[in-house]
Amino acid sequence: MKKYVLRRLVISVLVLLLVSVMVFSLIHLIPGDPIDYLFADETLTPEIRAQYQRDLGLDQPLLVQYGSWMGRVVRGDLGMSLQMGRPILNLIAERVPATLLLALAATLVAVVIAIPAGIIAAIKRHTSYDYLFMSSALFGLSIPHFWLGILLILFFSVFLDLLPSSGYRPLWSDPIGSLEHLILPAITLGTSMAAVVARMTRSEMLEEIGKEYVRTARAKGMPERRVIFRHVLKNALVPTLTILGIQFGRLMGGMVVVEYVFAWPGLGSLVVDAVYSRDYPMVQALVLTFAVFAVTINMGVDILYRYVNPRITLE
Amino acid sequence: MTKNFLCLSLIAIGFFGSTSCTDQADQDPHGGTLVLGMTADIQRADPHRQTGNPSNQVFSLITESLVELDAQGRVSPGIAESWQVSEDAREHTFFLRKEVLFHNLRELVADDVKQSYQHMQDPATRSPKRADFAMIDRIEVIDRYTVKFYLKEPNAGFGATYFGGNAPIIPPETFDTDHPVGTGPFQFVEWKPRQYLKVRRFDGYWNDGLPKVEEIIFRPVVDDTVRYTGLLAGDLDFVFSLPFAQLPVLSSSPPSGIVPSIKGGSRWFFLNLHTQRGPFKDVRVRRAIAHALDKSVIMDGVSWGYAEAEAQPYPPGSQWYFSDVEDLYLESDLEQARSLLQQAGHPEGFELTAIVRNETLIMDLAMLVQSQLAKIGIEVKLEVMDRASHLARQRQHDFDLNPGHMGFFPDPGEIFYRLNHTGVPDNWGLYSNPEFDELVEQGRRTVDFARRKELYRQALGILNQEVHFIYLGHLPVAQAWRSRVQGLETNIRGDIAFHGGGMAYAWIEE
Repeated sequence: MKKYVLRRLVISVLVLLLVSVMVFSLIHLIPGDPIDYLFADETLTPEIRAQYQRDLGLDQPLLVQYGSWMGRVVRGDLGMSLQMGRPILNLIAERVPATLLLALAATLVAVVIAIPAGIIAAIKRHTSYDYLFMSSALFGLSIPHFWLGILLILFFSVFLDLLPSSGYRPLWSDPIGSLEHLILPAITLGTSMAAVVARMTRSEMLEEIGKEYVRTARAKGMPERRVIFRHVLKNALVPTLTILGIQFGRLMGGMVVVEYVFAWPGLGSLVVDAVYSRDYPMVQALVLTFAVFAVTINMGVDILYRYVNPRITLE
Repeated sequence: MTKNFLCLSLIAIGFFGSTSCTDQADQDPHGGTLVLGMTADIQRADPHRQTGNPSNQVFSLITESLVELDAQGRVSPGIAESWQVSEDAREHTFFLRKEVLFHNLRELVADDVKQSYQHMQDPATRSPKRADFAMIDRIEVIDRYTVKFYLKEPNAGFGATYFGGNAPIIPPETFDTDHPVGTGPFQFVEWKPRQYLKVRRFDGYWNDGLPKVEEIIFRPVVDDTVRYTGLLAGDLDFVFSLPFAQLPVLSSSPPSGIVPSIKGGSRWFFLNLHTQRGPFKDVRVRRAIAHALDKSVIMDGVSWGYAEAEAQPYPPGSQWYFSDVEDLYLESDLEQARSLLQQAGHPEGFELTAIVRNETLIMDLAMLVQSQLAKIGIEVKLEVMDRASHLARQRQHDFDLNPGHMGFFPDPGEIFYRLNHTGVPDNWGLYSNPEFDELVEQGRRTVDFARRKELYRQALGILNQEVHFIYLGHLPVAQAWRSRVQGLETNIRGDIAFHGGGMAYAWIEE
């Protein structure tokens, strides 16, 4: 186990290095630069423009810029945002709680809806339950977030006046307010995630139900409930867990549309704004952070397999 | 909703005194909280380093400048009660109001003005406003309440540029901090990025009796539709920039409790033509483009019928509006357009590239232009891009056609010179005409208003003949607020702070 984790850590460092080269190259390849955006409303003479380029180090060769950025990153210094003039680490730290809260809540919504729906659809295969759940899943998968979000706002905020239309409250300072603000974005996000998870659960359950050990268990007279929950579900959950891990990692990388619709201060809008404003250090730091999230979550999920299914070895 | 809840809670726990919440509100119109839906969050809390309209709106309630604009965009007294411009337009003297207090309760004096401008000019500050102040040679404090600016070159419209959040005067002891201190009607309380920015009434405000509400919360809600929905839901009291698609319904039958404010605005739409590339070098081709367009259809299309076609950058109502300017290209004249193309040697038309910012209004405009020019055989290739890419392409003069819109400049010296004078950085289409240059230079040197207006009238005449910019019309200001907000007006730019009006004058009626 230790050996496995160590090997994964070494690979992770290489992955992160590759990500850093890619993000640095890509953001510098896009036309336009931070000075264009920062001083969009002003008339910049070529002299003042050149001076800003020197100030920001943008006149240096790209390799030198990359080297100096990586040098700072390995020392834990992500730099300052050009657009906001504040340390990037602080800006990310401010947004992580909101992103984490929404990602967890959306995953919870997905799990609560999807796993029972997937199980029922599999057990009651080709019945009206199955068709209902699976067509709902297809609907949930197809519906765009911005549309569902606005519909939910119209229904729950405008017509019923039950929930706030948008915004965020930190969980620790205002728990009730925080949950009120969380419900609609979590449902919006959780719906599409539930759709994927429900379909995956159903197909994995069906595959397991058809296996010989299930027939044996039934032949031995084991109650059906025990067959399903003790044996089938446990085996079927492994791929579902992978999907959940991937989806959760995706959510941690930002939920841009939902963040804009619900004015949710997450990491997604931060990275989009940073790309738009060509805030180079910010984009680089954020993409690297997302890569760290993805690598960590994937490793966590792999380790979790072992607990869900002890036959899996991590070597 | 929160207030009602609080009120009910007080009743429920028997903690209720002799005065009910409603009575309290009736007795005291000076109080309450307004929540404003902004189109974007501020980027920085430092007044000298912030830029962009959403930020300017927020800071215009916290900080003040030497001058302000009035309802029609005229330059009016701000911190300066009055000002004088020397005959050669190089020396501008501002006479400050007395007993104007900063939020830290220190009196504002002339030296604060000098230091504020110097701080914004300092390269180390990296203020986005710095380039605008390059024309200042030196600043002299004449006495405690008088400050004089010496310019490197004449500019009669110097003072007009620095209104509202553009050149905030802040106390030097608060430079480079993230706790903005100014002399405005509201003082900064806190900013939670992407959540809200809160300001509270400043009791020491120099304009007695103002402001009237206790607290204002700015909430960034980027999407127009969601912002409007927030207003309907009662989560927001005021919203900037309504979605134009909602205007027909909103103006004919506004939802209960909502007050729409849709009026002629000052943001102007244009089509910028490159004058040094391909067929556009020939003025006849540029005129053919102008004749081929149906400006009324374009303005109706982008604004859902709420904007009129115009042939100038200033809107009706502005002191710089020229009522006698004839619109040479108001109606589409395809025959004339084809004839001009034939004369210029392009009877079959040609292809050109338009750089289009990925913003709904501009994309709508570009598509309308594309379809209209197709009628005379001109095929427009639209290159859609984000703002930073678009800014770079403009700076590199790399386009044939550049559709866009631009905000209001209170002085034509800025708008005419900056966009059209030979060799200036923002002359994206590389237009050059010595006669025009001479007129706008004279305009900068001339102090007399009537004479200046005549000079710019002539300059506009040249622009309309040479068709470097095709002026299309002005976008409406479309805002709305809940009916509990009373006494509120915004100006021609849609500003929430201006001389004689705005949020400082609003109160809440429950």
